[in-house]
Amino acid sequence: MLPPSSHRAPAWAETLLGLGVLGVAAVVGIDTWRAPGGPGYSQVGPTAFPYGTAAALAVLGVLLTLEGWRGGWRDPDTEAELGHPSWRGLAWVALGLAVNAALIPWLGFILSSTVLFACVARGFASDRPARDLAVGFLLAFVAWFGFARLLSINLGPGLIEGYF
Amino acid sequence: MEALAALAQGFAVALTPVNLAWAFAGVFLGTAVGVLPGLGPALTIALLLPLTFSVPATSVFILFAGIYYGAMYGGSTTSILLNTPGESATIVTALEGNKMAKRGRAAPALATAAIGSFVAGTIGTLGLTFLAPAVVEFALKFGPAEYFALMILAFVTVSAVLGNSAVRGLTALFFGIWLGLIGIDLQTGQARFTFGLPELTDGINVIVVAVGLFAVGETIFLALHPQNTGGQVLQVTGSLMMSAEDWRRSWKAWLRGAFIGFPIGAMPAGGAEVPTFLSYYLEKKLSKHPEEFGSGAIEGVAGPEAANNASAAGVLVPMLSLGLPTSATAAIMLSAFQSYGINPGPLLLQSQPELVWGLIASLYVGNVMLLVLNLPLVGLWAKMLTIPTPLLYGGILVFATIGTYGISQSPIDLFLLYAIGALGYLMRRFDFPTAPVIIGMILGPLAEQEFRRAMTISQGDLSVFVTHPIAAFLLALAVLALLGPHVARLARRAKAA
Repeated sequence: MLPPSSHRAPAWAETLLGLGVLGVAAVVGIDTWRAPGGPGYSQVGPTAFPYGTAAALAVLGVLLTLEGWRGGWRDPDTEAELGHPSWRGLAWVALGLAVNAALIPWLGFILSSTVLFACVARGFASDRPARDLAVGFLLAFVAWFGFARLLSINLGPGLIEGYF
Repeated sequence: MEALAALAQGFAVALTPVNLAWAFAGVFLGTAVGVLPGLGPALTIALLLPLTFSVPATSVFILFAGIYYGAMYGGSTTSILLNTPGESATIVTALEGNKMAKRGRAAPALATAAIGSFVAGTIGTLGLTFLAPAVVEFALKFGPAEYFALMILAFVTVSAVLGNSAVRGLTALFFGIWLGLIGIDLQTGQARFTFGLPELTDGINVIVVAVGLFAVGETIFLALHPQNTGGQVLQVTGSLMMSAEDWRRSWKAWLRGAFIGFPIGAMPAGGAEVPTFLSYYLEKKLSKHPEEFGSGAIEGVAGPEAANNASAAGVLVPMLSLGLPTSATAAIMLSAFQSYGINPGPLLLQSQPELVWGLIASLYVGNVMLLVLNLPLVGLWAKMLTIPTPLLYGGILVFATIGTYGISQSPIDLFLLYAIGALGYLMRRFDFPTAPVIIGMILGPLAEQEFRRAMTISQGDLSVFVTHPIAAFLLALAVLALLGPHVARLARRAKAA
């Protein structure tokens, strides 16, 4: 328990997060309100739980916003341990994810995942792209073979999948 | 002794070569994901959910249960050798276990963890064997009102009581409930929260949410904050034999841990963290060497390790007998049942005896396999800890892609996965628990169903929740658990003023 913290400066990140939860509550409530009445009949309709969820999220959003406004809840020690964020690392991971989602219908799982693997490894400060591509390809191939061929899970077509 | 006869039947199922192979695959994979930081049983089972389309139910649940038990064993290896808990339930193990390893006593620490896990896992499985049928007897009296009340109690305990903050836990829970409501309402055919997207009419797949929160969120977190990766892997030196002194100090701690872990796991509250902390404090209090706590006391490894394995067995009691999941892993297993069209609950033991008893019998078998896997092969698992971080997280995202893209080969699922991953990052960064999201998502629609059934029976009269004694009792417990701490604090404040 933190001491009464009314004198602390607002923690903007937490306040925004609380407002975000309020925003979700609003979306849930408004979307339920705008939905047409269902054709079925029952004692409790399809809107009861959604309204309840919206109300609960609204109350929780207010509580979180207030807590953020009064200085937030994060522990300064844990914060200090996090150090400087590595935007470069995030950028590589995000690039890998975006490339994967964009190219997987054309390249197929194996090649697309190889690119994803190499990008993520790069984001975790690997400086050996050739090794990463090789390991990524091997892993993607073995995983694809195990899941798609042995366990018959459909992972879609691709440039090289058809040859195996 | 009906349970014993049924269990014998179960062994006949579990000991077939095919199911032995699935059990072995499960415990092997489970140990591996338990050892690897960043992977856990909930994520692994979620990734393997597509197996439910192509493999018979009994084999799949034997595999999943093996993963679940195996991860409990594997997590302790990471805690001891790396001081980074492999699983949340092995945080306490890191306290004493890593100190022991630093003093060159890694081998006995690993041994007491593995043997203690075996002893407690077996006691817990025995408890499951006899308690589950008893709970079923009781639960057959439950109507929809009682089930709804029980689910509310589980919601409160998993989100508000366990964890750092009731507000953040409940926020995670209700967000999960909302995710669970997305899609066609089965009772009326009404589409809810589909925002005009045909992809959302069947609802959001739990694989996408679990993999997004656990795998993608964790990867983003560590890419952004690389200070949190790595650490030094300590070497295992010397023989894995425990000295007579180690045995003498361990065995009581194993038994005490098992008897703390199983009942707490079996309660609708669930959770493996609480019993490990309780066991740790109990051992510290009872120890003849309290001064060793904090610098590597073997009881501090033996007790909590036993407690977390026994609680893993305990969680399966409400899961199999009531259909009530109290951990993220159990919730994902429940969704696997749903994918076979099986409803876990009191009727499961009668309608699917082969499945349930085969599963329970395979837990005994799995425990033996795990003891063998974890003692002589501990060097192999220690090697896994030296996999370079870039390759580990690259691999995790490749498997995340399989789990998601395998659902319907749609890139839209991948974008949804990444969006939920970003959310998972925020939750991790701002200390929101993620397990309530999964539990809310799976259990929320079931709670809604029971609520509507109760209302249909009572013709819209809400008083059933007060007039039915069991329902009223469970709801009162839930209110007490939610508000009790606040009332106590206000009372203290009023006294102080």
